[in-house]
Amino acid sequence: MPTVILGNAAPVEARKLDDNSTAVEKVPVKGLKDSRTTFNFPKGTPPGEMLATVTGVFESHHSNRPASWVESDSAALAELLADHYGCAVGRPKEKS
Amino acid sequence: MLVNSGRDLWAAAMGGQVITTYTGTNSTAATATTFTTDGVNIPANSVAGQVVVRGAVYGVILSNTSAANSVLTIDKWYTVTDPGGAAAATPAVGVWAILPGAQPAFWMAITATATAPALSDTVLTGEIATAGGGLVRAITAWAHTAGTNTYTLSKTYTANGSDTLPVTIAQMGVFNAANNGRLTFRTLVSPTATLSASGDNVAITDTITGS
Repeated sequence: MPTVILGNAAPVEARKLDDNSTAVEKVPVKGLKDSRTTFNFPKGTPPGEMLATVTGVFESHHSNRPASWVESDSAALAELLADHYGCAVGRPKEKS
Repeated sequence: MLVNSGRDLWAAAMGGQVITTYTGTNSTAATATTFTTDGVNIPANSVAGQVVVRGAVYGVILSNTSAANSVLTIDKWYTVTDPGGAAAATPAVGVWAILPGAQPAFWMAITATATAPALSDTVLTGEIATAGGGLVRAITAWAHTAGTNTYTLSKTYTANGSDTLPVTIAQMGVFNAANNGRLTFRTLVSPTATLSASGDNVAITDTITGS
């Protein structure tokens, strides 16, 4: 099951404009920053679909900023996403 | 919209439904859609929505009878490593268990029907189920941002030569099984999307808020 995790420096919650519709607005989450967003895909999802879903849904439903880092069990997908966002592969080390 | 049957699934998944659940060793051969518990009596339909595991495959329980040998009706047998793939082979007899909680709702279906959702809905009217088509019910991608009260379910549908086109996708439903199963969410797609030719696609994302 391919997994992608993105560093999310500006997390939001997508709130439906109408309970009966998929349309949403993004609302920042008070007190939450430097979060992470995880995507899990079913086996067999084409790489192009995974790339389009991560970039599209992250930006439309999960964050107000580009990803700050990326991890994935697919090295190729991680490289593509890092290139897209201009960020590093691998999460930053914890500050002591 | 979280419909009534979805509310029941949510309660079972979060709260456990049957907490001290069932296990045994069956001797009656299972079929592609039934499983006999052999000596374990389960109140009628009390484990619907839960998962029966036999070896490395599982089934989503759609209903169950109450008898000395309760019969579970499932939609199919799933391979744990590829639930979206072909049905698993019917398992041989042996040790089985029904897990607490409920099977997650991660199957999305679409329809051209634009009728407004209602709490009492249990099916997605006009669900596209064309054999071999690219617009049939499928497992979604799940995403969640740590610390937030929402998650998303996303799927890109690509029409192929088997689909009847053009079609305007107006609504989606989320279920807990590949076939039949419990309708959990039914939502109008905004904006609608018209697929006119093989290769046309539509990406749909539904947002679920916890409270």
